[in-house]
Amino acid sequence: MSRSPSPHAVVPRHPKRTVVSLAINFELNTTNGLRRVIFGLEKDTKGNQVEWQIHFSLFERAKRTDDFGPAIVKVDVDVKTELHPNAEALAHSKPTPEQAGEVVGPVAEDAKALKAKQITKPEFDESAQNVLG
Amino acid sequence: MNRTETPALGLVLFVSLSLSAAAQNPAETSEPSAPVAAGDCAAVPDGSFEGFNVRSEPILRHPFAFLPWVRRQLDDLKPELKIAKNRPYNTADERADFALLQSEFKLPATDSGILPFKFNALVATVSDCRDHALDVEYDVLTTQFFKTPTAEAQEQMFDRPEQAANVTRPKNFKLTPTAGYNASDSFFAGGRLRARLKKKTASLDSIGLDGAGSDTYQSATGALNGSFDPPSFGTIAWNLGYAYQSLPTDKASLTESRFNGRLIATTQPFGKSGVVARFGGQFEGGHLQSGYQAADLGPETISATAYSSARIYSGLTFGTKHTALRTSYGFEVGANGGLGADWRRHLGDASFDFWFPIGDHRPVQVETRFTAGAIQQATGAPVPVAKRFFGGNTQQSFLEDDDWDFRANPVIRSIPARQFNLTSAGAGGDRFYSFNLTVAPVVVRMPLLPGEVTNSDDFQSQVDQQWDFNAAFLAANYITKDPKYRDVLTKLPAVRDALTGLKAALDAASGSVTAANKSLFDACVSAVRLAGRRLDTAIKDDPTASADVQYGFVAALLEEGREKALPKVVDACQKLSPALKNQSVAEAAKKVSDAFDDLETAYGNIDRNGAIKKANDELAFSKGVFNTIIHDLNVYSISPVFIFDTARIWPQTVGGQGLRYGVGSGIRLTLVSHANLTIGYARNLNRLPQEGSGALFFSVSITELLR
Repeated sequence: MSRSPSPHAVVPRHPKRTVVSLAINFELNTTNGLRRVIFGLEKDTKGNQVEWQIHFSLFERAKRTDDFGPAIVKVDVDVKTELHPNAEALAHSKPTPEQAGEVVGPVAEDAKALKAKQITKPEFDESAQNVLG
Repeated sequence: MNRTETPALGLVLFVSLSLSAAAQNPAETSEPSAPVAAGDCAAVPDGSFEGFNVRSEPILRHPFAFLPWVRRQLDDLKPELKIAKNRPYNTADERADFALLQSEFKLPATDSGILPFKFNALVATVSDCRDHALDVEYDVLTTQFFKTPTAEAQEQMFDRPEQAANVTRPKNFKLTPTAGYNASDSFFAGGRLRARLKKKTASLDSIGLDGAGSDTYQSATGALNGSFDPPSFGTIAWNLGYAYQSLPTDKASLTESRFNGRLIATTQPFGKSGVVARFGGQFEGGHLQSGYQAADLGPETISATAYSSARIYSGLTFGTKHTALRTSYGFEVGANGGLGADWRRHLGDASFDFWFPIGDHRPVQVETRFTAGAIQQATGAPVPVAKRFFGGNTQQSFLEDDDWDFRANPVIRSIPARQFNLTSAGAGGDRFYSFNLTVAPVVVRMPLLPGEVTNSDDFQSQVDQQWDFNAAFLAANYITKDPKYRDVLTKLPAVRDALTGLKAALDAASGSVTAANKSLFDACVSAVRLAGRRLDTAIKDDPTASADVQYGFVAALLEEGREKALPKVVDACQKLSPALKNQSVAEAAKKVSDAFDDLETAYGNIDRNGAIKKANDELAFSKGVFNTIIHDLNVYSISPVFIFDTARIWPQTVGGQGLRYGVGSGIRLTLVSHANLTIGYARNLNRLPQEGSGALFFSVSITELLR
């Protein structure tokens, strides 16, 4: 690794690394063999914006000899935040089942409506803010 | 990543969160910026590295790169990377490299017949952003853990580290060389052969052959191994085998030649602590011989005999995130020369291990083990000397050639194998106990995930939020399966009728709206419109909509929801009534309020807290395992080891020399925070004249970190 000396900076022997992309995949089969959890996180940095894609699936089967069918719960979440030292300071309180339901119901429907230009961005923001804020 | 939509619940949620508060942006505040290290890429304006010169070829790292095929895989990939030395950094190139590495190191498809959990991670980092240049590194991390819930089964991680690395597939034929050293056994070498049947026949899984020997020690076993998995129980394993071993002591050898048939039942883990129960039985028969002369033995001990015996045994293993407890009890009844009950042996073995962190990825492992045994004899019936208890720094197992780690002799690491045996009744004890303590603090380690990831609050925030959302989604799913949920759905038509009536009343009253009450009127109309939209979807008979999605629209109507569509109608329209002074609107609003109350009452009958608890319990194990991987696992670690042992055998010699103490130290290599290889030296503190000053010790053990 070539390191051209800089007259103004002292470079640490192990320069600090900055994560620009990250992907984590996790699969767990419960010990009774009847449930499977798949959890994945992907982080992608594009300039000033950080995009998180988060995936969660839960599969269930009645007997160990059965195949796992389709997921009983499957969630794919795409979150974009501004790259910012305080981005992690986003308020975080435990979501309720109703809030989770509203995320997959009204907010998801409004997101589709926004994409189809059936509602305006302020209307979507208000809806999303009501549920996520 | 499987992105296939499912009929049960499919969600693609796009949320854009822009932090607009100026106070959160240092560039827009009067607070001084924190100083940044020279070359810190986090300090690059706008986080944009586009056009930076890539100083050197990207580094491609894998913790198991020492395995030739992994090394080769990495070497083959390097020329395909788009990011290259002396070329401008480009985000699209980095994404292409990332996608290539993801496809190369993706988790293998799970075979429904195995139960591992798997984890892989890929991290791309930039560093040393000076002089408009930077360095690029890719870290690839893969791990896979084994299906068997018992602790011992996971010790094979040392045999096949590449399996833990998730970089190979199990083989049907495995030949493993073995070698070692012990002061009693001298240098020995041998091998272990396992042939796994491609197709299970009559529950037969595999054939095993083991052999090892030195100039003083010989051991050979052959076995047919089978198993079957009764539904909802666990595993029942059987073994038909032959064993021969000749074990040296300080004076003479102990030789055993026998056939045995064995059954071991292992339950599935149950309860939060993952309790696994094991039990079984064994029949055996053969010859026990020794080189001891009658003068070396007590009057109730014989040097050699044909024998038969039966054993029964049981045990439990369980633990919490930072603790692991194993207990085993065994009973053997045997006869010299035929069938009967000339002698009985009782063995108890318990270990308690725990660990606690003293720094980032720096745990202290503490292991304790207590073992005790006793022999009872029928009147006038001698016991074969090979069945008496011989102690030292090597463990003899109650279930030889089995994964169940059931110790059956006093272990004291300061005395060579089987040389702790002198009693007032000659060689071998008829009772014993031993206690072993091992303390190993990690001093050198390589965390599984780089600190840049695990120490990032952004990362941790996303992980925590997502697990909480996962539990909430699951709770929502359970609520829709509550029998009382159907009652909630039956209330929706009444709410719709009431809302329709209110909308009609508002339409009729629109001509009497004045400037003074217009804002109240508009708020009521707006609330009715939103509630109507949510209700229409909630009530719609759409076979393609899952119950979870429909529930979201029901939730949006309720006080418990975030949108509170109906409470907003009730609130806005009740505020409007006195200002509008319209009887029809007031009555219609009252009907909506009553219908909403009915809906709330029905919803209140659902066991909501039970659903939340069930969901949290369901995911607690998954979340715990994930967090342990993220925050605690090291790819490898090195620890100094400190040990203390004490052991005692009876009947005591004159002067009470049955009790021994050993202290020592050594070094431990741990793979994946899990499998421990320990070597060291222990000093014999109160040795007898004929005993040495101490002994080398060597062990393979596991830390049950992943609970």
